[in-house]
Amino acid sequence: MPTRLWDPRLFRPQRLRTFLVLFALALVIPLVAQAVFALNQMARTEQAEIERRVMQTAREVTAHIDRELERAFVTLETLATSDALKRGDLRSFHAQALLALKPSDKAAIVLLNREYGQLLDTLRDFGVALPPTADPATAQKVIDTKKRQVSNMFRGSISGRPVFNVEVPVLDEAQDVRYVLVMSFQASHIADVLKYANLGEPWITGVTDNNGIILARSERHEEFVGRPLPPELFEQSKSAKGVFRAVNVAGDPILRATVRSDHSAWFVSATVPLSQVEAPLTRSRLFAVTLLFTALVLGVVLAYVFGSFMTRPLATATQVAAAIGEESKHVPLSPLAEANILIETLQNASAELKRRQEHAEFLMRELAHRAKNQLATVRGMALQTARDSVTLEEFVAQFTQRIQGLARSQDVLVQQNWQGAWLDDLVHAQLDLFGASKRADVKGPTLFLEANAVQNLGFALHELATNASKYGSLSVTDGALKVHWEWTAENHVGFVWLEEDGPAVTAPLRKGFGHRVIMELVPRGMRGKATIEFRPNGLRWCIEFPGDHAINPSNAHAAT
Amino acid sequence: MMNLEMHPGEPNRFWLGPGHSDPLGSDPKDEAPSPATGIGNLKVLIVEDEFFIALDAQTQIESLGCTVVGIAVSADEAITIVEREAPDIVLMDIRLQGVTDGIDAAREIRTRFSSRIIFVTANTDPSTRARAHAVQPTAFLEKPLTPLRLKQALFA
Repeated sequence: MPTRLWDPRLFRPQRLRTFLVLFALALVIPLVAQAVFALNQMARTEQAEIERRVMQTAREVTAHIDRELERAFVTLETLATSDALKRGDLRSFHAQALLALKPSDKAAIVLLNREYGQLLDTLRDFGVALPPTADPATAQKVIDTKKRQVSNMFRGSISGRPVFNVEVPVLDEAQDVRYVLVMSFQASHIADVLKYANLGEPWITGVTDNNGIILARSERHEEFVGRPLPPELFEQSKSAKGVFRAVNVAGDPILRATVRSDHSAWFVSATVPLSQVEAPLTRSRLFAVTLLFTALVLGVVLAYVFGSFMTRPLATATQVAAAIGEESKHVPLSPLAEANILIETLQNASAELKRRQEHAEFLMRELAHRAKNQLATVRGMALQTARDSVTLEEFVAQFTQRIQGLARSQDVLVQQNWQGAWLDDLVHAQLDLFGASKRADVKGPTLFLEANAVQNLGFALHELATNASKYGSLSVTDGALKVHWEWTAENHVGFVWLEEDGPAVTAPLRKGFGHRVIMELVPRGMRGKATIEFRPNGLRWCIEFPGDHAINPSNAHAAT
Repeated sequence: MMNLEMHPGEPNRFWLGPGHSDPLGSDPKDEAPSPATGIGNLKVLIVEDEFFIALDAQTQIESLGCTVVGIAVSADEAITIVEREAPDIVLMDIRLQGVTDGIDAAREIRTRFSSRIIFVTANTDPSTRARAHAVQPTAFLEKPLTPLRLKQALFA
């Protein structure tokens, strides 16, 4: 029992296009999935790289700031060793302090006494009365610790601008704090340092003091300086280690890294908009969706197009198959080679089937024709036999024998597809009916007679053999029979029936129907001439008929 | 039923069936009238390459009081006899010896002579019939030939 390729209960038959679409999807989806996975990995790598850069930037900016602060400390600590200061010559020290400042520093040097009073300020001429410092806490911390300090942001007592102080102690000989030397920077100085890092859009760096107040910002510094960080962000900045996601003071989602300054303990941060961080992933997802959509659309469209390349020729092949056995029409070549082979095979099968149908119809017509012809022949044979018979028994015997003789001729004709028969086959077939095939000397050139001649000569042979078996050489054991034929010079066939060593022969007084057959009817039917000799030694019958009764069997066609 | 008819000096005649005079015969309703019925004497040529069939046709034609002027086995022989004997009717088989068939021979006879054509053939397929009818024959008879159909065709 043949195995089914599929179970129709589970999967009903589908169109070729559906299989092609599925095939396209089967090819596309794994590729797209791989591409999406690779893109996602790349996006995550890029994202990790951005996070690393954020952290690195925060560290670098912190280092910049610490260098600036260190420079300020060094300047102040150098000034603290000034002889003028030791001598108490504050005027000279004011001049020295002015020289120590760079114009770009956006800073002033202030000398405080232990009561936080400003003894000099490089922003003012020496001797001008000055208010107390606005940040006494840091000064007190310096006095208490005798160590350098950096303040948080505060408003300058003179300028009112956001400032911060870098402060060092000035010790007397007893190592007590005599003065607090201050370099007071505008907060924008740190903003300049941040800008110096030149990270460009959309990077933002910023510095927040220990109170959570924005000290500097690389972008929109003036707008945000002095404003407190959102408490949540400040708490995140204090507790976070590394990079974290947050919402900045402007309300934008950001990726932020915060590093604390060594000198000031400020929170130095580098941020990048979250949209920038997630752009690779978003881009990857968008690309994946586009790729998937394109692949699907392209897959379906191409499946449809290529499906058409296949379904149209197959539809044509189906039409050819449906019209099999009918008149074949010209079918143009299709682009599908297999379909062309199928169509050609079907057309060949159709042509062969049509040929066989026509041949079958021809055979049926032939059969009908031959049957009717044979019936007519048998009817004629019966009538003629009846006319020549004296008794019913004689009629039955003669008629039966003639029917058998006719049947023998039919046998040899059927063996050759009714095209004709080999002459020696015909002779042997007729003699065999009388058991005389082996004792006869049958000899002559190979000769294929057309069907009508076979039937006519068959009748003659039957009548001769009947006579010989009754009265001639075949009626005795020692009798001999020679059946010879040859081509004559006139391209006729000379055929001889020669009986020898049989009973003595005399010419019959009455010529029956058999005599008429061999002397009149068969010669006329074969357009030949017959002679008969009743020799004492045996009967000799000759017929000479035109050679056109002999044909090439390969060119023969049925005729009667 | 088998019948036997005996006449002094002649071979006995016997036949099957209930009829009385037509040997081996024919259905009684196919029985042909005898010459004594007064049907005219037509000259008929038989063109048939199978001699038993030709002899049967000859017997039937002569029993109708007509004269068989010859039996031809090929188209050429038929035309020669028509030219010589000018038969009233040619009883023509379609398949004959030689390259010319009975229809072509009949067409030539109809063109050149005044003889009427009766086709007697076992070829009854439509294309052969169509070809034969194009010659405008008097009749188209199927083999085996029966006396009644032959009579109707001869004296149509």
